[in-house]
Amino acid sequence: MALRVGAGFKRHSLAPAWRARQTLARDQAIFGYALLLPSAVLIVVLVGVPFLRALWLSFHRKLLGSEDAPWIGLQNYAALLGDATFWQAVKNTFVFTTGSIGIKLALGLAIALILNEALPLRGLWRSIVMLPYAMPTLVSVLVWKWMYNDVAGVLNYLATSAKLSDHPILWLGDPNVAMPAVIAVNVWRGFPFFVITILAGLQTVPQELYDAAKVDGAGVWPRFSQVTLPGILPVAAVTTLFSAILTFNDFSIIWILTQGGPGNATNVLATLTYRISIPGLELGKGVAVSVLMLPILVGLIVLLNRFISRREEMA
Amino acid sequence: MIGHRVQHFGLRAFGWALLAVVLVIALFPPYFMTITAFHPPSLSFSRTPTLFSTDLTLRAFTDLFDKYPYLTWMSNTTLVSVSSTIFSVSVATLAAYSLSRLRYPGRSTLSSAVFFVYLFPSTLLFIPIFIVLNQLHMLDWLPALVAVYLTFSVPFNIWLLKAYFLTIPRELEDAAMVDGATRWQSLMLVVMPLAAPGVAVACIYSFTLAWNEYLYAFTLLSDQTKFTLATGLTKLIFGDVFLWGMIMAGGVLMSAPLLVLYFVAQRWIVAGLSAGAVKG
Amino acid sequence: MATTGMLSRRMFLAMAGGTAAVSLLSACGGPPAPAAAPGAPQAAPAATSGARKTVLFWGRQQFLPDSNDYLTESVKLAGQKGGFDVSVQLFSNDEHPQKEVVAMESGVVPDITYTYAPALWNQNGYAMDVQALYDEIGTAGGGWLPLAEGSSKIAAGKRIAVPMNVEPWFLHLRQDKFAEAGFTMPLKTWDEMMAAFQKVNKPAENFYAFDGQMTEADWVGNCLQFMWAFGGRLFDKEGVPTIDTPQNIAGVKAYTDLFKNKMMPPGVVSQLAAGNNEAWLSGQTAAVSNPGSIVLAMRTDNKDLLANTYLQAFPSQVKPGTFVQTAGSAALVINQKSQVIEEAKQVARMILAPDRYPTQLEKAGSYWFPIMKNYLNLPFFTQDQWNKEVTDNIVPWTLAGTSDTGLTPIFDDITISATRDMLQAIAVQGKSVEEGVKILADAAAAAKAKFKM
Repeated sequence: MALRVGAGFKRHSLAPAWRARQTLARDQAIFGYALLLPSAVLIVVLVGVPFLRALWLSFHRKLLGSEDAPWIGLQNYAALLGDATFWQAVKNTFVFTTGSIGIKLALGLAIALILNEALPLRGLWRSIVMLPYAMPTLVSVLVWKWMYNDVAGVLNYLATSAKLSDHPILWLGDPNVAMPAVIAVNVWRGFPFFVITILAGLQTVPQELYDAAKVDGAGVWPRFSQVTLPGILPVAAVTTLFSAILTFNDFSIIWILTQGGPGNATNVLATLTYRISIPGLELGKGVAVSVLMLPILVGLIVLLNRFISRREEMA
Repeated sequence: MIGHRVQHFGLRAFGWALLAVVLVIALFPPYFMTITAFHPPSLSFSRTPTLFSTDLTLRAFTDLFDKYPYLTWMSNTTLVSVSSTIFSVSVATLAAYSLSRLRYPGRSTLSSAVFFVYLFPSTLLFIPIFIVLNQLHMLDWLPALVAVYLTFSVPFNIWLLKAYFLTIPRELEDAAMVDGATRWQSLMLVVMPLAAPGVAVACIYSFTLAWNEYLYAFTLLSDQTKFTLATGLTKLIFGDVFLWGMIMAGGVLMSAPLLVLYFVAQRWIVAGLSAGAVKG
Repeated sequence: MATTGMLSRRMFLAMAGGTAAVSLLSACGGPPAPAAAPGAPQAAPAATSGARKTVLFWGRQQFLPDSNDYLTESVKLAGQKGGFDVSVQLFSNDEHPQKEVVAMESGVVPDITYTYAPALWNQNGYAMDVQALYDEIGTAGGGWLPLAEGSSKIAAGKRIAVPMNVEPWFLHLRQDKFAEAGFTMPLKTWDEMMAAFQKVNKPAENFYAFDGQMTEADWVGNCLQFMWAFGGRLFDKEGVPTIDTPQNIAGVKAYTDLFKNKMMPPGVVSQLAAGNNEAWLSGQTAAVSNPGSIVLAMRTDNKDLLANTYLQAFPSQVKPGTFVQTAGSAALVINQKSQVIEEAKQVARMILAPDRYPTQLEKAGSYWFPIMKNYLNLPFFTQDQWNKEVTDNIVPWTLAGTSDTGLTPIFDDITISATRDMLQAIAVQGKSVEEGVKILADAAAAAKAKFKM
């Protein structure tokens, strides 16, 4: 507090201003927390409590349906860490997630850029692009399963008609082809979401920046990398992180297509968890699988979060 | 300059070709779904896939409405999706505003905490959630399902809307408040319109999630009259027998409203800022 | 879109949304009353003399809607006669097991349930001893078939369920294709069947001898048949797993060799339950083993193919002239913690009553066969060519997969995942048959420990 003329008087009149600022800050804090309250309550009751309960269960031998659940400490975890199937699932999950996200991001970005241009019937193309996202998962994955069928599937029909292959390809039955095949379906389902979020993000980049860059004589690539990319980075980053977590935990696509087969080639952590907990009835062990992957997911979130906040500070 | 133009043209041609390929791939499964929905059942088992046929029938659709309370399912699903979207976007807007505009301790931690909701796969949480709701006697109750869907969509919506709000300069709000608007008014009248693309995406996401979600609807609902369309679909699979015609017809009926929604929403996405934003 | 236009649209939407939300909440009413939990353990005694009791019945949704309607009607009739209310919920194949397990977990269980997993209900303490009811119903029906014994009792002797039917697997054979290759129906011995398979197999034309999945799907009707044909069994009388035996290894070898020698479509490695249906119905294979759904599909959509179909059981390899066949069996389990046990018993009696049961079997199509002797000669089963083939060729030889030991959760457990692991190890990962069978044996041992048996 700088001293001014008539310090006594000034201090007297500065104090209310300072107190007013404190009150304002406190009011803002209360208001801020109040706005968060609905979300917080929802999440604590419907996610926090079940999550903690599940976590607690992972230290017990708990069979689904049965009442007794003795404490076994870290036995579930030890059993998993020593199981080759678990480690294969870890590897498969990483391959599946990075493969899918990489392609979804690249494809989503490319299509968003294209659909941002002035094209005839733009609205129509944008809607068609959303079709994979609109179809209910069960139906679309069943259709893909049929498409991959070795006997009556359209992909093999096209491949053999076009003489690309002399025998039907076992899209879902050949361990080497199965993982790319399920990644393809995940990408098909998921890229529209990247398209619309990035498309929305593109709208926040003011036209003046492009115009200024053009006036400066910048070509296509510099315009993209210095105007477009920074503009959409926050939105693209959020979408990527979010999609990465969801893809990491994605269950239904792989389950309906291959149940994790052939021979564990597409067994990811989500399918492993499901198989251990529901048909296998070992709920405690199933939870332990998810808990083991938490550090990685948490690390992902923290890293990307820091990246985004730094950009936000700069903006 | 010529080099630029050629480069530019080449790039555009590549772009359009890519779009065309992607559109075909995006379109094929829905196309197949639609033609199968209009086929008689015997065609589904032939060894050569039927890609086009004039042998069409509405049987699958009429069967759906005759044999199952399909209209009830449709209205349940609509109710759940609409309310889920409205509540989700509202709740998320409040939280996003708080996290982006207001300052208080713990703000950035809370920001990142929001994502932790997604860490556990739904295949694991659905049993504990079932037990919690069972203890609260809220099974077979659609509003409980809405609440569960809110937990899926709210965190992402918060993040998305926060990212949008941050792109809107504070000066606009300050100007509004100098003019006598309250914080609430400045939120609704200044910030929201400018964040329209983000709001539109949030609506699309929340609505689609609630509309297509299967696992929780199936776990939390037992009474057939409370079913949603997604749970209704599972009734068409009998172990090793798939009623393909009806499944695909159900798929068509479920996808069509979403497409209409997207068509409307995508206009909002791109029209947002052109509606009189004031920059600089 | 002008900003002002969007504003009024937004306000309109807000109001519409508010109205929708309010109407949603009021339309749904409050949460349903907790009365929907009649099975939950309650401290106080049940209703006083004025109030009506309610029986909650769970079951599986059958393929033919008439069958479901008739079953529901039976339950309601029991209620009318006995003066109580009923609530019937039927679940599809995929939902049902999960619903059951989640119900047991939460303690909200039905009073009586038509289930394919009685051992699990017993394991979790819900299955009542129904020996008296079993005897009563059996007498009324002329005596139980041998299959009933293994489908209703556990190794320790407790009668935990009342069987409702026989759901046999049939070996479907393309008699036209086998006739071309010089073989007539029935195929009486194992060697004859293998020779026939060899001759009829034409992979170059995309036509194979047999379609048997290399996953857990349909395992009980495929791989297990081969194991039984070679004299192998899964358990002994006391419920001890007897999986790692030379006979079982020989059986699994015969099954997987069909795949390795290209007598099965290559897609079997990833086929699920519908895989062999599709292979048969699209004319890709000369033989499959499946329950009634394929016959039913042909009756509706492909009578020509049906005319070329012959149904029989698997010939035994160790005892030529005899046959082996598994059958499933749906059973009624009564919740011993229920408040309405007497009423639940009345429901069971009504479903299996001599004036209801025959029609129920008919309406279930070729899925359900009689499990009591009086009903083997119903016109429905004797006058239809294929039903007759089943009743003559198959039903006499049927045994439950757990016939040696009686119902055990170990069987249910290993047939979900470990069977898949075994077959995938041999067919996809190139392990030896011995190693594969060991996987199954180890899984059974692990299950034994898991259930503390």
